[in-house]
Amino acid sequence: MSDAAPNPAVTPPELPETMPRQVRTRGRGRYSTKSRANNTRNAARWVLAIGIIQIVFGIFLGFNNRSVAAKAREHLSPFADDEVLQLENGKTETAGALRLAIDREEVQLFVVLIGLGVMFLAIYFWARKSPLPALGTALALYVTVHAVDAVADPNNIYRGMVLKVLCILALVRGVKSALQQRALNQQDEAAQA
Amino acid sequence: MSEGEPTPPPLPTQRPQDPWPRFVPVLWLMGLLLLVNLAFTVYVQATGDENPTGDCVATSAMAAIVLAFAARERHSILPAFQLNNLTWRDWALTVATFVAIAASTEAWFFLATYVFDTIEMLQPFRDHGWPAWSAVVLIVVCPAVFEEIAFRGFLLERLTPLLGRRDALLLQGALFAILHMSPVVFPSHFVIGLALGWLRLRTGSLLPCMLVHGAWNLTVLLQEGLWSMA
Repeated sequence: MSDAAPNPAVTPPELPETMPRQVRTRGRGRYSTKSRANNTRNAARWVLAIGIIQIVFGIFLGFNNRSVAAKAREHLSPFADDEVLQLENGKTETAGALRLAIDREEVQLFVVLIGLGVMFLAIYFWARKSPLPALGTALALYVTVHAVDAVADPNNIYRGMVLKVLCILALVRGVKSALQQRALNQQDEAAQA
Repeated sequence: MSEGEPTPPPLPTQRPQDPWPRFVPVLWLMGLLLLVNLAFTVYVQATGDENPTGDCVATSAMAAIVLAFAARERHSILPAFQLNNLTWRDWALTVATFVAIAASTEAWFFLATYVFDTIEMLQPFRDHGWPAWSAVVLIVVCPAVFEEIAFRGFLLERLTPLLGRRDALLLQGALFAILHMSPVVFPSHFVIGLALGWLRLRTGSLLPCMLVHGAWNLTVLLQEGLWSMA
């Protein structure tokens, strides 16, 4: 048989539709589509976990703060509303204004902590639809919240350090995987077009 | 393979270009801006000194960071400063965006005052005898110019090819809200970020965004009694 004659036995078969995917997943495991999807899903689950933890701790700390506020009100009880008191930081304030501040602070703690938890839950649902911007937002929000927390009280840096690091790593991996996945999807769309 | 049969499309021989390196500058910019904000907060908290000089230093640092990053993306950012491309329709959209921002943010602040204390931005300027124009420069002009270059300029230009218009718009809005480092203003500033990003995409220019941003900041200062200070 001459070289030019087509031999049915060695004719390359029709390429299956999944061929480009096989090429894409060739090589190291972390580049596989499955691995990327897992990373993205895991990161979204971390966001869900942060939201739930934030809400649970928000409720716990909020109620814990109520007992602290009750003690503070008790300390203020001997003073009349218009009586001027000197605070530890040197500023002066009336007892009435301090009572009002305690009342507001009680509500503020609940609203801020539970509000943050609700934001993370909203980001989780957003991450199920578009993982990349949602995980980017979650990462920025998480880092900012803990940075502000550390500024407010430097002892907070070390509290739950391992959990914070794990969470940031998972979110970074999620963002990277979602970015790679999106680039591959765009390439597929371009090839189909 | 017989003649006339369609040939299969060529298989990709390379993995597509990794988009992560294009995303990293976004994280750097956001991280550096947050760092400046945090450093300023730490300074104010540690010293108890709310002298606007600290505000000047923080604003200058943020401006330098934003300009350094914008210089990398100058080919796409500089055309967004052209005024003559704007039509009457664009200016109408600018006014509409300002009205929408003012209405939504005022409503949010009105609700928030039931729970949270109002921050008086002019108080440090009054306490230290700084003139009214310095407050206008530091609170109205600088944030309007540099935040717009950073978010609606650099970030939106970087993110749009990576994420698409809708997701880029959402992400820059969220990052803009996060930069203000207060969970209380997060919803209102997310809406502001979205509105300004939408305006940028519709008009193709940064100038209307700067104008709306500055006008909104000025409105806040006027409500706080800028005239009396002047």
